[in-house]
Amino acid sequence: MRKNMIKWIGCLVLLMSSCFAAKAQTPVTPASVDRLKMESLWLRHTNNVAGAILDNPWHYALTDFEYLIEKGEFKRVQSGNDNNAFRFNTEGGGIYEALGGGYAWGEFHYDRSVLRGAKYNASLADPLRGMPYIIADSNPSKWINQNYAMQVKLATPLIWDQLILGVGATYENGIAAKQVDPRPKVLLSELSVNPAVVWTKGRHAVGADFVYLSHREDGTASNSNYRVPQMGWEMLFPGYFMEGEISSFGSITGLRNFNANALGGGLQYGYVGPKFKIIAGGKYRQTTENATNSYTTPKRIGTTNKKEWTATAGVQFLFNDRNSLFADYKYYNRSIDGIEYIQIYNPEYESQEWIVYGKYIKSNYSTMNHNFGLDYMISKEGRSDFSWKFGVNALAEKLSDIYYLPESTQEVNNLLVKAYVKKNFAFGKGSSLLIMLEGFLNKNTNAEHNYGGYYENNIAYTQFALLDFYYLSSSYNGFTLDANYTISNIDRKRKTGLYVGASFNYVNPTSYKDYFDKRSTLVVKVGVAF
Amino acid sequence: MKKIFLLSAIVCLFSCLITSCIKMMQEANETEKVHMITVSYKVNAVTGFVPYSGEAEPDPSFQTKGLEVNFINYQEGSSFKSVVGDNNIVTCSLTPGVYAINVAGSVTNPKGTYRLNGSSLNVPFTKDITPQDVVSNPEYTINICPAKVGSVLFSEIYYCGVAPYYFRDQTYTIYNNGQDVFYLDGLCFAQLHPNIATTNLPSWPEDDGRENFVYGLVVWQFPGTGTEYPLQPGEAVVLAQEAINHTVNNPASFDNSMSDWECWSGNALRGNPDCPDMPYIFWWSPNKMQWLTSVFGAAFCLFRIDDAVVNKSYWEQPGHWQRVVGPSSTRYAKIPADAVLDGVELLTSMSALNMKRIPGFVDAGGTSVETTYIGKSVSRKVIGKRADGTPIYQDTNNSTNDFQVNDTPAIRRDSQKIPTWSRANAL
Repeated sequence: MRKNMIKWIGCLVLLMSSCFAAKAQTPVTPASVDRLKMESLWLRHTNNVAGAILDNPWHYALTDFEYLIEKGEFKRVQSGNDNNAFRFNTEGGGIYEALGGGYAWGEFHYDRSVLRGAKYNASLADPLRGMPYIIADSNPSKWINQNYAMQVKLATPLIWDQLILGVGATYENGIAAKQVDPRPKVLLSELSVNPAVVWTKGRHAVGADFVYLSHREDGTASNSNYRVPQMGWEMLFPGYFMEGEISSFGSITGLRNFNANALGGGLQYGYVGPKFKIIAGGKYRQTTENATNSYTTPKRIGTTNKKEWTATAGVQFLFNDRNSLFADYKYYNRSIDGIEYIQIYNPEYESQEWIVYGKYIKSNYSTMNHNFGLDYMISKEGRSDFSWKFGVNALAEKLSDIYYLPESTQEVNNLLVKAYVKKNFAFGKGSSLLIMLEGFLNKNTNAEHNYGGYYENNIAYTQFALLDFYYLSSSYNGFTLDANYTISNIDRKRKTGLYVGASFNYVNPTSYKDYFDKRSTLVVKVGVAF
Repeated sequence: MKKIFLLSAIVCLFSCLITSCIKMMQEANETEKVHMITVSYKVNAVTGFVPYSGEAEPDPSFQTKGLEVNFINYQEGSSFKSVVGDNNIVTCSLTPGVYAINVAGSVTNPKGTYRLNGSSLNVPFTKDITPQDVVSNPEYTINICPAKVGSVLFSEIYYCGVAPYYFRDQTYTIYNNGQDVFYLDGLCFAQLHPNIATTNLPSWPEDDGRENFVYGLVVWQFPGTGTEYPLQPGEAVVLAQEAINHTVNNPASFDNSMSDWECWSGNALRGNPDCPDMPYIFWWSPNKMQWLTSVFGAAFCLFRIDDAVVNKSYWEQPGHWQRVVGPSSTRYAKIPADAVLDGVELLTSMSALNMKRIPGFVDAGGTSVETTYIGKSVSRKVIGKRADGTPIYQDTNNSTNDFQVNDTPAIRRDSQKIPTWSRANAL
């Protein structure tokens, strides 16, 4: 039933994007969509959907199939080391006269991934999403994950020449199945609603948006072979856990039920001058997520209380019709408090339940980023794409994790610098080749790990927590080479383009070489652009 | 009109969602950061009945000052030790959490040597508890039951079975670890409730007080009129679910056909006709197929109720059995704490210590072979030898410390002797 619903909604989004895109004014190619997104400052820097009207994007649609192959040991412990994925992506929309100048945009993604060699996760579809209260096991495992995600953005045209209302919504549904004991089948769903408003007067605009998000995820790690006991860990924090047998008779029951709610909002300011456009904004979001271990008599395994602050600023300098410079800055601060409960099971017949006697913040995970980017774009007159694009980006990241009692701390500072060049070769009006080469270098500038827990010889510490610290504090370099070839106007109405692309990413760690080897990713895709 | 109704419904639904969301977030925001707390607890040695409230008069002949107290947080894997001080109060600084409080030690008085072991499970510590709080509130008291150091004990238990799913070879060895002869006649051997370690402990009626009894699922009794079955120091007696050469049925099993008694439940198709049957004197709902104890690990005790004729009719009398609070009609044998001579708690794995289900006066710890059908046994650690070569076993009333895991079970391990009356002498 749910799968059918997803398929129907997916088809609807696809149809919507295709129909709207049939009215596109210029040939659509990956390069032109890249430029469009680059120039849409409100959409790129904020969650305010209403701001799309100010970006005034033309309409487009891209639909493609991707196949991914990823191999290598330079990875988080919980990620796979030999992965494949098949993906279907479609997105499209823009401002439509048929909607009275309103904005409509939608996207749909389907992803089927096969991960191999993933460890220390028997609870979550995505173990790296910031939820520590999981069940972990040391068996290298294959996971088969399927995910459907869709998003819609709608905005009214200008009301009374100064007001724009908008709403965005996302829905995601997934299933992730571990193929080795203890094996959960994890089901997840996520829904978010994002109403927004912009008030504009002359060259100025101010906006506000609000977001509500609900995330549900649950699965039970069970054994298909009862004769082989499966030991595992009920994780509280990296290096802090309860070890036991994962089974209905064991000390660790395999079920984990996650329930998250988030509220947030943002404020934005935009200005459009004759030679430049600027957008600045800030947003805050609090996400609280409970983890329990039973549907009928739930024990509160833990709660995460995540607070995220983001400040962004983006500016586009228009030197002339052909040349633009983009400067972006983003500050991101995330703090996750890990709350643990003191509770005892009341076995009395009339009221069998877990009674909470107290709760404390036992841990905190903190992330702080400063991200600065410069991009220069050269385009040709009369074309919607670009001919050259250059850019540099610097990301300074600080990770600080602490378990308060007994105290353990971890601090990691990294500086990631990227530089790229993109060249779009246009072969007449019929075809084009977009090539991108990016080089990146990550320099670890500080790494401290002080463990004060009780299990320094346990593999859940040495092979999980410690190895993950080594990964996070690794220096590395690498490159990405990306090529897309597009043949435009392949249909009779000369509105459809066909593109094929390939992208190769290579990462080479330069520290902790005893633990990590290189990792490479190849993505090939074929798609159509309307 | 329809649209207004729909819009109102959406607004109401959304308001409910937001309200519950805000409540969830507020609760999280109000949580304080963890800090060390200092807790005090009173340790009383009580020889009489302990009411459910825990308010019991300590026995002045047993002083607990100087006993070691271990506060164990199984979830975190932490433990904090302290010593009982003046006024029988122990004080310890620890992190907030759920603790098991274990008291261990012994005292010798004119009546003999007594173990002062005890434990209190699932004690939540969330705030400071001062010695003044302890004096005014009986909630912060652990009552331990002095147990005379006995001679008869479980020396080995083979319970987990062997692959593939073979469990008829479960075997129990009872040994005289003391210096005097012990007469097995009338000794009771009980399988305790619950059968499997669990955090979901049964709830007993408040009239039974607090840890005054353990509750038997099945009680077997050694035959004899009083002096028929002497067990000399260093001698062991072997009981089996089925006393046959099990290697015939399963090559991975072992031969326990020389057992002294079979715990036979009435299945005419099973059993060794040459091996005498030990009668069960309590079993509310007998399993006529076999007496199978949990291969995950059950809990057992040896007991003898002085001054009472303990037989089937004894357990039918009101006051000698109990039911769990709730609708279940199942009866359990009510075994007084002071009748228990030895006990062992077997766990699914050592990590399941937080699921311990029998009181500390029976066994302050637990032991395990860690998994099922692996053909391993648990046996006591040898701490010495007698002149005749028989072992002296460790017996601190804490099977976590006292027991070891063996790769294979054995009949009369460590040069234990066979009683003169045993049928094993003729085999």
